[in-house]
Amino acid sequence: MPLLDTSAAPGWADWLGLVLTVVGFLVAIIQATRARRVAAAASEALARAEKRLHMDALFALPASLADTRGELNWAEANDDMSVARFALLRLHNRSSEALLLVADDSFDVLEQKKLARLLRRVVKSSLAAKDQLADAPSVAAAIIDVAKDFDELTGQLAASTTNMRMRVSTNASE
Amino acid sequence: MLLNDSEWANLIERLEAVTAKRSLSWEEVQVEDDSEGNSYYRAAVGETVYTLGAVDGDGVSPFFLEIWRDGKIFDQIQTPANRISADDLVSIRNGLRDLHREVGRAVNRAPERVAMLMSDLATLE
Repeated sequence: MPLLDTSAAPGWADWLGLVLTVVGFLVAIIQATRARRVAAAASEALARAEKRLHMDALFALPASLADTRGELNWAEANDDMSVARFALLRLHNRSSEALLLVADDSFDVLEQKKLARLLRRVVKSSLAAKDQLADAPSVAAAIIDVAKDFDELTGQLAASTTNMRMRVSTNASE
Repeated sequence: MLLNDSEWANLIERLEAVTAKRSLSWEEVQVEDDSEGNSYYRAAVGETVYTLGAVDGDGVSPFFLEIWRDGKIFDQIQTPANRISADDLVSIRNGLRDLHREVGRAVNRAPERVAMLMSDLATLE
C-alpha cells in the first residue's frame, strides 16, 4: 500500500476537515492576540502603579527624615545616648533606602547626582556618629558632622522634590 | 551577670592579647535567615565558645561579647550605654572596640594582605 494515495479525490469530509482546521487556527490566533493585549495592559498598569508608589515614597521622604531629625534634636538636648543610637540607626537605614529611590528618572540628572552624594555622606556619617556615641563627651559632640550633612541633605531634598512635583504636574496637565 | 566589671575587663584584655598573637583563632559566622548578611565572630577554647559582634549588625559600636558553655549562654556583656568614667567600664568600652577590630583583622588576614601589598610595592622603583 502506498504511503500517500494521490489518486483519490478529496470528499466532503476532507473539505469540512480543512475548513474546521482553518477556523480553529483563526480562533487560536484571535485568542492569542487578545491575551497579548490584556497582558500588555496589565504590565502597563503595574508599571504605572509602581511609579506611583515610588513617587509617593519620594514625596514622603522629607517628612520621614524630619522625624528622625526631631529624635536627634531630642537626644542632643537631653544627652540621651540610647535615643541617639536608635535615631542614628533609623537615619542610616532611611538614607540607604532613599539612595535607591533617587534613581527615579523623574529627577533631573544633576539633582540625582547631588542627592545621591549627600545621601551617601549621611549614610557614612550616621554610622560614624553611632560608633562615636560612647566615646564622645556628649551626644551633641558625637553628631556634629552628621547633623551638618543631614541639614544640607534636607535642604536639597526639599528643593528636588518640589521641582519633581512641578515636573510631574506639568506633564499631567499636557 | 556572673562576671563583674573588673573580670570582664581582664577577660577582654586577655582575649585581645591571644588574638593579636594568633593563638586564638576566630571564624566569621553568618546570621541564619538574615537577608542583610549580618555576621558575628566565633572562637572556641575547650568547652567554652566566645561570640563577638556589633549589637545592631552594622559593624560599629555598641559591641557584644558572649560566653557559651555546653550550648548555653554563660554570661554576656555589651558596650556600656553611659559615660560613667569608672576605670573598669572605660576598659570594657575600649576593650570591646579594640577586640572587635583585632578579631576583624585576624579573620580577614589583614597582616598577610598588607605584607603582600608591601611586597608588590617593593617591586616598583
